[in-house]
Amino acid sequence: MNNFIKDKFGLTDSGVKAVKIASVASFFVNVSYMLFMMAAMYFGDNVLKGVEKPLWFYAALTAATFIFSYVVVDIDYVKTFNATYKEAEELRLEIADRLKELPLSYFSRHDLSDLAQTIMQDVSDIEHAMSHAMPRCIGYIFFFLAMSVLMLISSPLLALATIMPLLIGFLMVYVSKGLQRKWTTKYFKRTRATTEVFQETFELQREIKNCGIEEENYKAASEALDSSERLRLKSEITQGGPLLISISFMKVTIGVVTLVSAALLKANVIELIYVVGFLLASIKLIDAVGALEETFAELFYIDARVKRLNELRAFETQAGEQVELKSFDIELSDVGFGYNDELRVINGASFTAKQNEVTAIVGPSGCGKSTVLRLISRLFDYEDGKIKIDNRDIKEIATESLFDKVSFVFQDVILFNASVLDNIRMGRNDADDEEVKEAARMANCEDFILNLPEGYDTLIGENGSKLSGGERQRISIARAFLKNAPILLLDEISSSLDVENEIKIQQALNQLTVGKTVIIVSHRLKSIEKVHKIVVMNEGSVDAVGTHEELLEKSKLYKNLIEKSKMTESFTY
Amino acid sequence: MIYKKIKEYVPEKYYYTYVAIFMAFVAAVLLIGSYYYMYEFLKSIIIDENVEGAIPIAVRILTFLICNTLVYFFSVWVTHAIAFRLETNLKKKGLEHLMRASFSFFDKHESGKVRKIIDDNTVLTHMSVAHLIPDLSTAAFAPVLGMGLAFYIDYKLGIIFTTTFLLGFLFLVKMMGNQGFMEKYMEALDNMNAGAVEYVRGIQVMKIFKTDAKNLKEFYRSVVDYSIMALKYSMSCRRWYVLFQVIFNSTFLIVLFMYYMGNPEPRVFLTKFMFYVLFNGILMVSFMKIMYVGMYVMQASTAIEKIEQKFAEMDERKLESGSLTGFNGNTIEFKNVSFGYENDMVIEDLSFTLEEGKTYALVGASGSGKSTLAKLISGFYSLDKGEIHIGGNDVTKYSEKILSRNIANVFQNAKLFKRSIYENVRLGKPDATREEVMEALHMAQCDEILNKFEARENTIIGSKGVHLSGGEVQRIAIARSILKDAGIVILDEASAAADPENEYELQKALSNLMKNRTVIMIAHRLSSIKNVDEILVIEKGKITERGSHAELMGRDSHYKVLQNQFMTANEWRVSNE
Repeated sequence: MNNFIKDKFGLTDSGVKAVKIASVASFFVNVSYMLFMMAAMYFGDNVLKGVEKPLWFYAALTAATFIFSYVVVDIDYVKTFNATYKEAEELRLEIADRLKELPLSYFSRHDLSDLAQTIMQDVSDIEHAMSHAMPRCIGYIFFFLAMSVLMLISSPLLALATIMPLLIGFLMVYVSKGLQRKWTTKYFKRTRATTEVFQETFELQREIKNCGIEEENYKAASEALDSSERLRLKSEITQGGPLLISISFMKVTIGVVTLVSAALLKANVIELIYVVGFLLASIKLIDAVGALEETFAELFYIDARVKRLNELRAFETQAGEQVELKSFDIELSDVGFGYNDELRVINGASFTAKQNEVTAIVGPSGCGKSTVLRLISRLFDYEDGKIKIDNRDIKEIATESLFDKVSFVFQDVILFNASVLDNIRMGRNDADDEEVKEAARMANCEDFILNLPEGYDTLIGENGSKLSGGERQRISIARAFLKNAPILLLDEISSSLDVENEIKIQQALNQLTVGKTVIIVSHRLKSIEKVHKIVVMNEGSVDAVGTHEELLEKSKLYKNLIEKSKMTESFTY
Repeated sequence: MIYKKIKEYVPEKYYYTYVAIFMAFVAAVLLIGSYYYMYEFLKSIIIDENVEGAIPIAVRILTFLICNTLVYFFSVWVTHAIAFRLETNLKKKGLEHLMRASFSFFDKHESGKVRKIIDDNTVLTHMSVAHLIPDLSTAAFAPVLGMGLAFYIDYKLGIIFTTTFLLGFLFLVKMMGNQGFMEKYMEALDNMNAGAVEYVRGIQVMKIFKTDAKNLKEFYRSVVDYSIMALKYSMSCRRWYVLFQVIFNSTFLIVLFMYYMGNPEPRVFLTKFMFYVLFNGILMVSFMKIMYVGMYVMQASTAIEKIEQKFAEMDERKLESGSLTGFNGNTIEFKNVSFGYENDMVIEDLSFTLEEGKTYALVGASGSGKSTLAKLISGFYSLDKGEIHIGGNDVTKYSEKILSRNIANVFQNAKLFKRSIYENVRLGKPDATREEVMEALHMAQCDEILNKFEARENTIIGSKGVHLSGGEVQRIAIARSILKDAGIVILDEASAAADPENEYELQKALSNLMKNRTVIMIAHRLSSIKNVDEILVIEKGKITERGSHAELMGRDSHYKVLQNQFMTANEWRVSNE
């Protein structure tokens, strides 16, 4: 039961427990409503049999039922909502932590900003289902079972007349769900072309305007929208029809019960009061189904969301043991890797980056330079060959231990909507303010930080939107200064920065690289001419390794690249 | 409210709403009818003890219920038709607004996001409207008709029914909680979502620097705040919700006392009482519907609001165009031009002239306004003040088509359509011959790109196995511009985003495009503009220096400072200490 709920609704352990408690409460809510019916039936029985009871007796009975019902509904409400929001919080934090554990390969399969919103929305949907649907459904099922047993004992035939239409209805709901899923997929494929036209019109609007083809494009897009409308209307009916019919079928139950009870009365095999009782019971069951209609829809709806969450939970995390790394030579031998099965990005790459040396990786775009950095830092795990640091396979080093020793300055700077101080402090969470400021000075940041309205305490906006590209880059370098890890990975900084910033960054970098194992990926061949070792990559493998002078001799590719870059540089319009 | 919106956006199918409402009405009549027969049935078996006569009545009950289902289904179908049309029309409206939007809109808003907002919200509108009409009709008609039936059977029942209905309404209003809470709740939700986006985006940084959710105080707090807020909101509804539930499930017991005191004939009383117990359920279902309808209306309204807000943003700087269809030369003249994206002006009261057939380079620090200046010439911006004249006439006097024909923009990140390379180029001049297209491709240095694919110029962009680098996409876009043969070419850092090993080809392609035209260029490589006709140095939205490279280098100019900085940065080496 526990595992079933957990699996089906994607909850945490404490969430499952809470749902169970809320379901019990929900069961009793149903029971309490039934008590009203029973009071009524008891009254009816007395009237039919001519038994006189004083008014206060009925008044007391009603009042007692009312109070009981109030208490139970109240408990149900409080339990359900408390559980829901506690669970929502836990789910969100659990997912947040989980996401951080996942290898980046998980994220490369999803659009990042979409992913965040999807997950938050998923949790909101599950949260809503938890407060509105899950306990109610489970409570109802048990209530339904209990009622069925009671009814079957008192009058099997009439019981069947009540239960069967409902059961058949449930079954149809279940079947229609399967059909719905099939149609949805089919429909999705057929309308994708339309979606694309619409998408293109938006995303290429500037190009459309530039070519002066607004009208033609509008016409084409409108036509696509119209045809998709027809298609969707058709598919919606085929999809929604079965569900609607099956739910309606359940509502017909009352008609069936009256018909059967009339027949039974006629055959004189049943007392009138039973008929009254059954009518009351079935009305209660059906009312509940009416209220459940949306509930079912909601549970179906979260199905895909839960699946997504469970997928996220099941995704394999990176293994490895905690070790204290002592020396920092990085050794790649015959490394192979691809982001997906189709394309090998790295194919048999081998080289060594020595401690206290700067190693540069160059090569045409798409040759896998950046990927190598990602593999060395275990942001992604290599697939073939071996990468060793301190003579250990990095796959056997826990990411925790590895990340302790690695700084990574990314090409795309990522900042958080927090103060400048906190953004730099991410480099080392236990650093005090003075250490953070020292790092900022080292990274040539202080001049612009002190010019911000609140200096180090200035909030820098979403992803640092209040700062310029160069300033953002400098903050990210300050992080690396603060961390001061023995391995430094630099990915392609300073493409399209303004020169003033670029000079500042260049000065900072020459400070940062001192005494570390540095691997730098660069497009600007000129800037890395003097490093200890240059690795020339081509189509995922290493073309040649050596110093600038050596490579000019032995690598045709390198020589070509150098010549191209010289031509580019001396070009004038 | 929402019906008005339907009328506004779906005038051609508005009568469908009447049909749907009518259908829902019929469904309600059938439903109440079934209850009437239910009463007859009870009367027959309890009062008349005529079991024989009860059977045909039971058959009628069943028939009515089945018909109710069918008619309701039909109503739902009709509303779906409206809802789909609404979605389609909203999207079309979106395209119409988009067509007139100025480029400031595209600078400010990422087109993908705008598309997503329109997409998501039209879907939301669709879902709400599809359920709104039948549900609302059921929620309204069933209780009203039910009231009639209750009064018909016994006025006392009618009174109880009506009272319960009104009481329920009161509770419902109370239950909705206060609006202030709702706003705070929405705010908490927004904060949390923004935090989540940031969190996921920052995953790789957080991994490397070993930070977790709790370190990201803002995000952590927003998650906790949201839960607290949501719980508070729920608890503010608690009392009324519970009362609502309990009272609705027990009102029928009041009947009991009323009759007990009236001392009626027991069997007549029992019949009516039983009927009322059954009938009471209608109210409960109605109120459930009303609650959902409330939600749908809110959803649909906010969704349409969001869409209309986007429409308004697109219209904010709507482009004006005139009817002139020919250019009289390509001299560009700024007359007291002011322009800003928001309230701050980037360019203020700027006047200058650029002569036909010359090449101009704009230089300046980032944020100087050089890029804005270049963009304004495209004619796809509307100014805050002043006029831009091209070929002697105000740009707003030209038709959009001729303007786009005569000015070629090459952006930093060009995009291609999901069509063949050939088609992509031909868009520049729809009536071009095959030779012309191929020549343009050749001039734009695209031969090497074509050689990469078996289908050559017929290769479909975006299809499987077709990968083009930024510089290659750029070159195909340049081929399009070459084919267009516009008099004016605007190049905004057109080669900055290219892959370095392809930059040289890109430069050659660009210089082919520039031949014999009026060119305004911004180049990130200052070394490449030494030979242009004139250099304009932009500082804080003003032109501070004008002249040839030699002239400007010859004196103590800002241009010289910029050139020297560029040299320094360019000569930098990673140290090997």
